[in-house]
Amino acid sequence: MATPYAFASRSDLFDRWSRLESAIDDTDLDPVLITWCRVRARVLFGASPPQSSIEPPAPDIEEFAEQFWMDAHGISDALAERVRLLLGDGPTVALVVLLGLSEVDVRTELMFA
Amino acid sequence: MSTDPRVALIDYAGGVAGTDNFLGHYPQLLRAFDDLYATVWNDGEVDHATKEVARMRNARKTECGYCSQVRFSVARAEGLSEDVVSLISDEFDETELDPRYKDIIRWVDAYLLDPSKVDPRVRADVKAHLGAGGEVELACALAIFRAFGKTLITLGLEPKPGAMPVAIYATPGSA
Repeated sequence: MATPYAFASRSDLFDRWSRLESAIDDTDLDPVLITWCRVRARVLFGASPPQSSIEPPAPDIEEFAEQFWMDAHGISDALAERVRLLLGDGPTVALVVLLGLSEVDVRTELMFA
Repeated sequence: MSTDPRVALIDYAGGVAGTDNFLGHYPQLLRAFDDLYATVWNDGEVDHATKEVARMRNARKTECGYCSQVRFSVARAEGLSEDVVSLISDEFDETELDPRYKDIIRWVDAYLLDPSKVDPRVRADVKAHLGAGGEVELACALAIFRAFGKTLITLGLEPKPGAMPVAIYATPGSA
């Protein structure tokens, strides 16, 4: 669960955001990958120090995720296709949504810190 | 960037705002998104036009072609015309845009550029306009705009350049 604490003052939004995050957990995306994405986004955007205990995903998925966070326009068709072949269509959608949510969770936390 | 879908799309009825074709892979994810998005637009304290200004600014800064061409009906009815939208540019500060909207744009830009270094005056200005709860609502709205704009870009669901005219859609959850 990674719902920004800033939303807590608006329970209508906090609860629904939490349900969206939970819906990601309920996809068939690997829970280890989900955790890595949430932790890595925090590190990349400066909300947490580097954590060596988190095992990185397959290199193509790691490259895909980090390119998404840096500049989603820079993801090539070839890289996207390699990730789709690794994960399948549905989990690729879940991964991309997770990457987006992980980024804005951190941005929101930093904005309201 | 790709304008060809990078994943199989699902013909899933009942979604809003064009998300059903990719979130349809996971109906529980689609329902959770729709519920949140409808709540952000319709049950809040902040007027639609203000949230639409934030959405349009994010669309331009994130370079989401689909988001840039969509307008939502309630914000349009509240007066957010194409003339106003055209002022949400990089030169917005030099335009005749409503000063309230300029404050919203500065807040959006801070969120998108480096939220850890936001000028306290930028947040204070927005809180003065919207209240503390309204600022949270704006943050939630912008978070959705940003996350799902980048999702559309990444999944190859962008329109081909010049292929999509400006389109006014019913505000999600307003029908």
